Amino acid sequence: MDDQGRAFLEAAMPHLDVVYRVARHTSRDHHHAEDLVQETYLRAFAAFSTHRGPSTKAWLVTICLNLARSQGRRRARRVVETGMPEPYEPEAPGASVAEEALASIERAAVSRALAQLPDEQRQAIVLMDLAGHSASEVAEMLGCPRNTVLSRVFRGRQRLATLLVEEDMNRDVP
Amino acid sequence: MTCPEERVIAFLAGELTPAEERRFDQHLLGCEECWQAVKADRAARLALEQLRQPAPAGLEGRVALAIALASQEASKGPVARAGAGAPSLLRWATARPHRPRLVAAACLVVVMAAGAAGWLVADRPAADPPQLAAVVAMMTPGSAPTSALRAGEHFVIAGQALMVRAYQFEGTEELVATSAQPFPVPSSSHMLPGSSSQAWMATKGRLSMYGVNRRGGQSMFVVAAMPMAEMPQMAARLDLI
Repeated sequence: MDDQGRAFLEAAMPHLDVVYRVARHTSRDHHHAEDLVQETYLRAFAAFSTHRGPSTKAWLVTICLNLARSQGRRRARRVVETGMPEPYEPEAPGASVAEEALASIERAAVSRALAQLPDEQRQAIVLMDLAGHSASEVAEMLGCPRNTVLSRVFRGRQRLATLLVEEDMNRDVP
Repeated sequence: MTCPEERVIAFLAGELTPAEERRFDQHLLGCEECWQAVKADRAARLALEQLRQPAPAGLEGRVALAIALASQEASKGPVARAGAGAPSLLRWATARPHRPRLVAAACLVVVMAAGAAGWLVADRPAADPPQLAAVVAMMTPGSAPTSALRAGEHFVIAGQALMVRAYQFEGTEELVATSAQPFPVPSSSHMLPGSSSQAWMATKGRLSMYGVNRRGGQSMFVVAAMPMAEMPQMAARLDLI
């Protein structure tokens, strides 16, 4: 491997876990998350000589998001315009949230609930809560105002908590 | 929500001034809706922590291998990218004069090896192609490979002529198979689209496999008893990539 390859791996490999999490929970097709990560790194390597951004992690995650979007569009064979403001979806508080119950809920259930969120909310949550980006960084990645990111994350977490409580209640029903 | 959502969001994001935060704390004491929203937010964040898991084992090696291949392609230039180049190990291996060999004995070994491999993978949903299964069955963990295998041994498996040669890399055994025909790709493999040829990798228990099929050139695959993350280094040392 040449110097460029080694320099790329040194810069990009520390972010593999984060890129995998984004791929795993952004793509609707979970089975292709590893392929998506590999493709992300190959695209990033091809453009590495021109990468001047301050954050390699944000750069990799943005490539991964773009690939996930384009693959999703290809699979769906239709283009969904997301330029319009998202409709307000009031979340009925429903059952009171039992924090202890949610804390013990299994990982697979959380993953399933996350997959049920609208794309914009899921994406914002993945980038902030799973990839560890700030709201400002996510706003830059997604090309939307910071307040929109915070709103999507808030509504997404509310919906997620409701889904997990429902799942927990269903689990207790014999 | 009947209360302004922005205020709850600002509170959760830690963006209220100390005075605003004190007022909102007081508000929470009397507003069940905001209190539930704050609790739901915290509970969701707690649940999401479970998803902050590391990448699966083997993914790092797979990505490193794909980058190593792409790096090699980038440095080879347009002539090599068109398929004129073959790893130097392959040129060296196939240039050696054929040694006298006991074809019947070799065939017997292959039949036994393929049979053993077939038995080992009988309960798997999709059996490996016989060429690959036979080479995997030639691995001799814990003991040195035969001198014939170290020198390079010729076989015909499932109608495909191939040569298998054993190597040692930092005390670990590797078998490299080469053939003028492309090897069948196991169904469980991951393709490595960064290469100009058809490259793939797969893991099988503690074994890692990496193969390259070149149209009109020598195809090869390597099987080694090492994690996939160590394969790029080994493959580079053997001049496979």
